[in-house]
This record gives sequence, C-alpha cells and structure tokens, in this order.
Amino acid sequence: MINVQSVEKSFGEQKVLTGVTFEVKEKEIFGLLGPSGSGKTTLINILTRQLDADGGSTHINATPFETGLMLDEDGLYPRLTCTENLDVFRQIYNMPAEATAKALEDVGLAEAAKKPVSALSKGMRQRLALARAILHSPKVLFLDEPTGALDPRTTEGIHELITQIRDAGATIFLTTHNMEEAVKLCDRVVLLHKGQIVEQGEPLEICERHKSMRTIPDLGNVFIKMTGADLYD
Amino acid sequence: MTNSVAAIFNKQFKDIMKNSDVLSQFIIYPVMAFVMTNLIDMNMPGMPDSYFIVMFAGMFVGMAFIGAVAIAIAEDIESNALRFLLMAGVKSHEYLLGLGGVYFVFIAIGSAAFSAMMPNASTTEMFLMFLSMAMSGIASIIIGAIIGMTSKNQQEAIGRGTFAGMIISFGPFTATMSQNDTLLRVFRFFYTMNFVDEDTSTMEAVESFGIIWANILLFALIFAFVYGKRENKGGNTVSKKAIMYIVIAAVVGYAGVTGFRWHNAGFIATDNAHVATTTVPIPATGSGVLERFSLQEGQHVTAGEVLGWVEGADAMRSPVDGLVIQTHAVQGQRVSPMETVAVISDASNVHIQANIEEGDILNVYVGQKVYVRIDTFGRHQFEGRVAGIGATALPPRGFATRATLLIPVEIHLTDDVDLARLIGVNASVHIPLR
Ligand SMILES: Nc1ncnc2c1ncn2[C@@H]1O[C@H](COP(=O)(O)OP(=O)(O)OP(=O)(O)O)[C@@H](O)[C@H]1O
Ligand SMILES: [Mg+2]
Repeated sequence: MINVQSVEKSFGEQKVLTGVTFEVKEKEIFGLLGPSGSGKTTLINILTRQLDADGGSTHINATPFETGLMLDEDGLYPRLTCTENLDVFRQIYNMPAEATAKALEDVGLAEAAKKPVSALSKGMRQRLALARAILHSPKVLFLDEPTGALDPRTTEGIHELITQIRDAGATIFLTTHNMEEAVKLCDRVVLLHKGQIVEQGEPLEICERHKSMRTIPDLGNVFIKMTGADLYD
Repeated sequence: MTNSVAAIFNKQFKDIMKNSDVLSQFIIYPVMAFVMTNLIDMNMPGMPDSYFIVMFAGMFVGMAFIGAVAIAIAEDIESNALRFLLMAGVKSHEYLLGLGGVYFVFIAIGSAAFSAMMPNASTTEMFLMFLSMAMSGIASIIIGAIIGMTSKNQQEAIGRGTFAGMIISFGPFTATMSQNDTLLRVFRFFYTMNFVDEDTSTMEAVESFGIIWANILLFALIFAFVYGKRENKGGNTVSKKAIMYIVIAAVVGYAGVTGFRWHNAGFIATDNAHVATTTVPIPATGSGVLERFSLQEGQHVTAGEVLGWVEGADAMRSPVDGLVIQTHAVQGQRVSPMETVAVISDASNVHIQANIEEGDILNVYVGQKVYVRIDTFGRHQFEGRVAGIGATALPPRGFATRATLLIPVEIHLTDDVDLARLIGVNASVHIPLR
C-alpha cells in the first residue's frame, strides 16, 4: 500500500532522514515510533507530498481523494462551528449532508456540533481534526500523533475508532512517541531514531526478539537497548 | 472544480459574516459616505455633491478589501488550513477563486450602494460608476492575494495590507485635496482615482476604464509571478505561456493608456468665460407717445410678437424668440424715432463665450471639442464645440500698453441644457488639444 525506499532528507546542514526504507501493507495499522525530533512529521510530510525528499522514492497506492490526513497543527477554522468546518470538506468531496453528522458522531462530538472551534478544548479540536480526516472514508489515513493531547478515556475511544476504520478496510499510518499505544494499537511498527530506522516488525515479535517482555511487552526498553536513548528524553 | 470553488466560497462567506472586525469595515465606508453626503450640509463652494461618495468609495475598495483579502489568505496559510484544502485536492487557483469571489460579491454590493447614492446621476452614470468600482475591486483583491501569499504570518499581512491600502486610497485623496500637480500626475494612474462619477465626461470615462484595466493587468502579472514561485516550490508549475500573455496584455494596456495621455497631453483652460447671447435692441418706430407698452425685464417674447405701439406709427415687433433683458422706456413716454425702448436676448443663440489668450488662439479651431463647467451647475461638465472665433481682440483692461489680449471664442453646447435665464453666469472651459 505504501512503499518507502531509501528516503533522504536534510534541512540545510541538518540530516533529518537517512536511508529510510519500509513497506506498509494493506489494511494494517502501521506505527512510526520515535522520540521528539526523530523525523516523524517530516516523513509524513514527504509521504503526503507536502515536502520533497532529497533522495529515494515513495509510492502510495491511493489518490489524494482517497487519502485522509491529520496533523498536529489542525488547520481548523476557528470562527466556524464543527459542522461548518466539516461541511467545507464534505462539499469538496461532494458528499451528502449526513456525512458530517456521522463523522461528528464517530469522534464523539455530536453534542458540540454547533460550537465554534474557538470554544473547543484541545482534545475536542483534535477529535474534530480526526473527524475531518475520516469524513470521506479514505483508503489511506495518515495520523500524526492522533492521541497527543487526549486524556486516557478519550484516547481509548480514538483507539477503538482507529481499529474500526482499519477493520472497515482502510490502511492507517500513524506516528506516536507513546510505546504503549504502539504495542496496543499497531499491527506493525518501525522505530525511528535520529532519522534512521533501528528496528521494525510486529510489536510483540520485536519485544520477544529482544527479550523485553517482562510482565508486559516493553518497546521502550527495546528502544533504550537499540539506541542508548530513552523514548521520553 | 465547481465543488471546491463553491465550498471555499461558502466557507469564506460564513467566516466573514462571523467576523465583525471585517464586516464592520465593509459597512462603515458606505454609511460614512451616506451620512456626510445627506445628513451633514457641507455647502462648501466648489465642492461637488459627490465629493464624499467618491472619497469613501476609494477607501472602501482600497483600504477595506486589500487588508481583508491579505489577512484571510495569511490566516489560512498560518493556521495550516490551506494545506488541508490542497491535500483534499483543491487547486490553488480554485482556492483563490472561491475566496476572491466572496470579496467580489461584497465589493459589488458596496459599489451598488455607493453608485445609488450619487445625487445627480442618471441610471447610465450610476451603472458606469458601479462598473468602475467593481472592476477596481478586482485589482484590490489581487493586491490582497499577493500580500497574503507572500506574508510569513497574519501579523505581517496586517502590516503590509494596511500600508498598501493607505497608499492606494489616501494617495489619490491627498492629491485631490491638495491639487498638487506632481501628486495628481502620479496618482492619476491609480485605479482608486479613476472611479467614474456623475461629473466625468465620456472621454475621461474611457480613459478611466483603460487605467483600471491596466491596473488589473499589472497586478495580475505580479500575482502570476508570485503564484508561480509558490507553486514551483510545491512541484507544480504555472504555465509560462500564461505569464507571457499577461505580460503582453499589461504592456499593451499601459502603453495604450500612456500613449493616449501623451497624445492628449496639452489643453487650453480658462475660467474667463460666461454664458452669452446676442442681444437685439428694439427701436421706436416713429416719433410720439408710447402706447400699450408693458414689457417687464425677464419676460419671454416670441418672434413677431407685438411689443407696443408709438402713437400714429407701426407696431414694434420682436425679431427673435428671447427674453426681455432691458427696458428703456415706459408707457406714455414720448420717444423719438430709432430710440431704443427695450433690449431682447436672442434665445436661439445662447452660447458660452470664452476669452482665450492670444498666445493660445492659434490652437483653437471651429468644430473643436470643449468641456464646459457652468457655475450654476457646480462641477458638472458639459460638452460643446467651438462655433466661432472672434476676428478682433477684446480691448485691454486698464492702462497696460502691452497686456496679453484676449480673443472671444463662441462655444455651442452639444448637451441639451436651457441656459436662456443664465446669461452672464460665469463658466470655465477646458479645450483638449490633440
Ligand atoms: N521546515 C524545517 N526547517 C528546518 N528544520 C526542520 C524543519 N522541519 C523539521 N525540522 C527539523 O527536523 C527534525 C525532525 O523534525 P520532525 O518534526 O520531523 O520531528 P518529529 O519526530 O515529528 O518530532 P515531534 O515528536 O516533536 O513532533 C527536527 O530537528 C526539526 O527541527
Ligand atoms: Mg511531529
């Protein structure tokens, strides 16, 4: 579904991505796990054609219309209501009016439909951004830290939603620096450190390989083993 | 395509309706124009009735919209909203079309309001004003888009938008107020100084539309350049051909207008002019007592009408249609033959007499087009043609021996207006040389 081959990217002198190669299969939740500044957002920007790579190639088996996107900067219209925000995109995608209400319901924002975005909490904004990303039932969904600002209960709900979307046939590419999330949610992950992939595979399999199971599978421990650095530094 | 443009249009319209900062700007200028024109009696000599309408129209089109468009685009870029639109498959030009379209609708509504306020305008004049304002609005939207696209953030867009708006709206305003030659010469070429109003002559209107058009093309060219640069960063390229066409059109437009100005560079102007006519003295027809003679000054008489009798002689008749402008006798008075008893103005020969300096007179010819303002009608311009040039100079005033002499030029108005009762009223005359 997504094919990434030896992608290189520098900002001036700073090398941000080095020889990044991996493949995302159809209908899986794929996690890009790495600490802050490791190059996750940069890679999403390259995959969604908002940024050109310096070298290597990427291929996505979906048109822009079949792609959904959620970034940490949400790009919502602050003066418009939740419904109005989604309606802009609903109209662009030429979808019926019910689509907006359904997407709001899916992310648990049905009651806030008429509130202007400027009156939403950070978590609600994040959910609205997610609603916009899934509005048109995309084939591929890119989520940059989808649960970044959410409390554990809302996070739980979003995880369920992401799983449902996957079960309905979509492929999901998400970034996170939360290893518990990666273990629980993702079918496969890559671990990114300073722009290089240090490990990839199924979370449990990786943990077993590195004998890092203890009581729970501990990807954080794997990360320390591989890099000498902590995920949360 | 239509979906995207309509979606952006809807979004921007809702956004403006919820943004009182922007909305109040769109409303304040027309309201101010209305208040200043209709509720406050300015009554300043020489100030045209449409003065405040034209002034606030300039601020409306310039100040309000350049800033509003620049800020809207900068906000969408800064908040990342534009990225999501582009990701959803919206093209940059669709975004700009939808967004610009909303502002154009607001400009059109405002332009209609300003035009409808014109106190003495005909429907055609109102329509021309509307058209010139709405077209000018396109230039403002393009300038706003250029600023919005090149600003790093909203703050910068506000600063630049205000600055551009100030120059574009206050420049012409200052030039008009100060009547400073240099300023006037520069700002003549700004679209905000070229709104057609009720005092604009046909020739000026043609020139104004040319200048507005040239402005649009010029800014469209700059826009295409900036837009091309932006798009190139994203990988797409804007057609080089399209830019070339715009360059050519802009150059031709500007060259045309400049050429027109050159061609039209000289003119003769004087305010030593007035409404004049030929006068006819009515002589007594014989010697004796005036009978049945009751003419009043200002009275209208027709050709052949009997004006009175001298005892025992023929009736005295008016040779022309006209007004009695003087009476020199009263009924019962004894008059002698050929004594003037009254003077009649010839209504069929009312014209403008302009006294042109001897140095200019060789550039004046019969049939030449002339623009005339008559004090009674304020700044309204009439069109006319030179009908005759005096054969001798007027006697010099005072005792100067080598004074510049003036030659009377007779001008007939081609506009239909009754000047019969305005004989002697001052006028000013503008004769373009081509
Ligand atoms: N436009 C840019 N210009 C210069 N440097 C940049 C730019 N974008 C990102 N970087 C640098 O590239 C590196 C990777 O940034 P990136 O945003 O991809 O990290 P990230 O993994 O998404 O981090 P986080 O978890 O904090 O979001 C950082 O050092 C960042 O400073
Ligand atoms: Mg990031």
